[in-house]
Amino acid sequence: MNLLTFLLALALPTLLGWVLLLILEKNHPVLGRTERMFWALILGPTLFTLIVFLSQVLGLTKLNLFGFLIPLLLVLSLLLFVAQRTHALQVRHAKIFYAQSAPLSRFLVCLILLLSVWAGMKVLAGTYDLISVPTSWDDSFNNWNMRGKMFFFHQKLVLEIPIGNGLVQPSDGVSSYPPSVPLLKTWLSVLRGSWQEPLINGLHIIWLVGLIGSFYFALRRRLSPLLSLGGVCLLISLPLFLIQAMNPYADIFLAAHLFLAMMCVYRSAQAQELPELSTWMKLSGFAIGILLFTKNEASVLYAPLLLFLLIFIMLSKKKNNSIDAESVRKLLGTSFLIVACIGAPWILFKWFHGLSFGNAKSVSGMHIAFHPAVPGAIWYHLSHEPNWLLLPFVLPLTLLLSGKRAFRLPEGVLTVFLFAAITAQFLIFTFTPLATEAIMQTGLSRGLLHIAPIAMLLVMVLAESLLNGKHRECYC
Amino acid sequence: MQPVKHLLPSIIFGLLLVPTSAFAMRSQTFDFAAGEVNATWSGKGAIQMQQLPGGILLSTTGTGLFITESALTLSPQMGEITVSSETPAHLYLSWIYDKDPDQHQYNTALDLPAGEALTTYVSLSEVLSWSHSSKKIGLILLPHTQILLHQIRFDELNVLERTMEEWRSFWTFDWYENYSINFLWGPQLTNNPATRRDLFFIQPPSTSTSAMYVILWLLAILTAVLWFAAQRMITRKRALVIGSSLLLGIWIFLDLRMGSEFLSWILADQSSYIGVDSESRTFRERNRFYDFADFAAPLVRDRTSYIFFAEQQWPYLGNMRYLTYPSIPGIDLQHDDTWVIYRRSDVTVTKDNELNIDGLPVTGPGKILGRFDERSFVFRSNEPATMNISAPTQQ
Repeated sequence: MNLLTFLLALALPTLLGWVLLLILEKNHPVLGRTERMFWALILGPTLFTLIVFLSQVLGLTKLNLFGFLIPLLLVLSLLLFVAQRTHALQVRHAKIFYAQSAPLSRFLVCLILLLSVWAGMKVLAGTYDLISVPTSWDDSFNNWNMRGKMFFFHQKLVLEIPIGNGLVQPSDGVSSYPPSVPLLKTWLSVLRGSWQEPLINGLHIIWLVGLIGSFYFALRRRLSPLLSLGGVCLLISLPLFLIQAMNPYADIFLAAHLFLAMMCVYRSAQAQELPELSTWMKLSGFAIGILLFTKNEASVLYAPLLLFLLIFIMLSKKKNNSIDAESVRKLLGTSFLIVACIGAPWILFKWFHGLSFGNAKSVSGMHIAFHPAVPGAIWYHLSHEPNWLLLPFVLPLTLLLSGKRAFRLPEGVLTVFLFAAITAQFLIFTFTPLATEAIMQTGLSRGLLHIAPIAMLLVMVLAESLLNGKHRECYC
Repeated sequence: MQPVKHLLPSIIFGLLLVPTSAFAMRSQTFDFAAGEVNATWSGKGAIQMQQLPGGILLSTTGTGLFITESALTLSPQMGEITVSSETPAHLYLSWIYDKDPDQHQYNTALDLPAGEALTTYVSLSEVLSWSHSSKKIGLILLPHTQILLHQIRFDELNVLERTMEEWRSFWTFDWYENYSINFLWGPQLTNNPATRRDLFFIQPPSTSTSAMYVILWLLAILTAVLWFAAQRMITRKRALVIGSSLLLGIWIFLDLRMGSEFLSWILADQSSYIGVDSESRTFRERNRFYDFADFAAPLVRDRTSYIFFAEQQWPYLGNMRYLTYPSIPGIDLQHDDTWVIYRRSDVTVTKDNELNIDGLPVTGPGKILGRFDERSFVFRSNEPATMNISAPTQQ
């Protein structure tokens, strides 16, 4: 019964995301058929919760079966109508050309197949555990599951969490996080008719599936199917990535959305022709807009960075005479408009309700001071613990060996983003009261988790160039 | 590859020069059973010694030292002490270097569990004041200690055994802990079994070396060597292929280690919780909390709030809040009449059906709605609390 509910509950939101992607791609499809399904699995359910959130705060619906179904079916019908009228549905048949299969040694083929079995074992065992054990992690029972359960009981969005003795948690607490994950849990429970732990915790597997699928197809544009599969295995091999994915936390959820938004920006930088660029820019707007509705870190750090990169890419293309000024204005205008339309409701809601902007702690008004224990804690996390295996060593080494190429468009977009995100995170931890999150390795590990898939992609892309001898520059 | 060919004979020749004693394990044992005592021992301070068939009974009224005149000539990495004790005992292993003109007494703490002929392992290789010099060994007993001492043994592990211990410690796994969601200690290296037994008990694991740190240093050196080789001996392409193959190999090796640890956690969950009936299962360090919460939730469903006392506040208070929502736990003694008690031996119900904390009544008469185990139950008083309980009671 739980499995049936799970499949039903996710099918419609995924369809919603899929149709919207088709509409955005209608002039020039850029996603493969299966790839689009993975993208829809990530973006669709979050878009669905945004619609339900809007409908609820506008007082149109409650968080009951009709409150979820009516807005979903209305928007889905509207999108299907638009897709039908604009022939966007035909886009689903379009073929995308991925990298050709390269001949691999028998040893490498066997190794990748064995690694895939190993990675599959870990994911299957982790999923079994995820749906079989009680909700025991702090952020789950204090935030993600708790809020979902409150919405389920009260059938409305509740910002004040009771903490006993007649007291409530202030609004700068966990209620400042977007309610997307809790709303999905509420939706599953509403459809099921009761709050079922295996069902609401099992939900988290979709973001791992969506992310590794999207990661595979991101690699497929450069690597053969087997090597791309090997890349996926390496991503799953990151211990903290796997553990976070196999528990009801929301950082893989953010990592998945961030990865898609980053891919849109990266492909925009890569796009050679205007129609392709136009599609990626629209997709960028959609993915960044949805990103704002995931976790607070997105609105204070990642989304502004990605928007800045979009502007930089457009100006670079104009400078190279790839596009004219009019196109730059039009493309950026469209992209930013989509971001504003999708992102504004939640940002305005936060503003009106005095919810903080930050990692459940307001970033404004923080006392700036140097915390000497933080650099040591960061060094220990990266060098003494196997949280990211060899990634902290391989990433800088690959960048060093790749030289200027790592900083030139299009790969430069990934490099600059990683540099900026890591630097910003380390500075925030070192100079603000969030230092405890680095010393305790809580916020620090989550922050690195968000960008780990992007770092893995950059390593694989640069390593492929290095090993195929596509360039000769090196900083060594 | 030419330099490697020259290197191999050198390594073999170098190994031949290593003294054979390096490959021999050595032990020194002090027995205390009647008729088997193999050294002269004496007591200093407020200590009494009595020879029993199984060992020497040591009892103190004040602090006492039990010390041998025989020298310990080995350089052991670990010690083992076997005692019988009715209560847990806190002792010190003590030593005085023969050549020390001041005859300074060094020591390291030992916590011995209660039980019959239990062996406690002592890791000595991490004790800074422990050196190879010949020394006299003793035990310092705190006042009012009584133990039956069976044996003290010291082991000097040979090179092979130490290498095997490093390998075993690399594959010794941590448990699924509260910190595992944020960071992992990962593979640790230690060369003696005593440290390996308690590898993750001390946090951060300061008695061992992080294998990750060692591997990263080795990789940095190998990278430098390859870079140097790429300048003079091999092509850049070949250096890249060798380097990336090496990195991939180590990456996969570490993945096997960490993936196995992850799977061991799932297996532990399966054997202690998922695959066990709800009457006896336990969940990680939370013990039987989740079955207790399932038991208590229906009993508080008719209340919007209730009083909750657990053995510690985190994580039980927040977790209980989630599990019993919309009934909210707290300590509102003035208004709530329902008490949910989890693993608190200081909270009891008297014959008059009053709830007592530390022997003092805190409610009027009431009744136990349900008892989960000896220290966990749900109680409802006929009226709210009769006395003000200070906050520290709720730890």
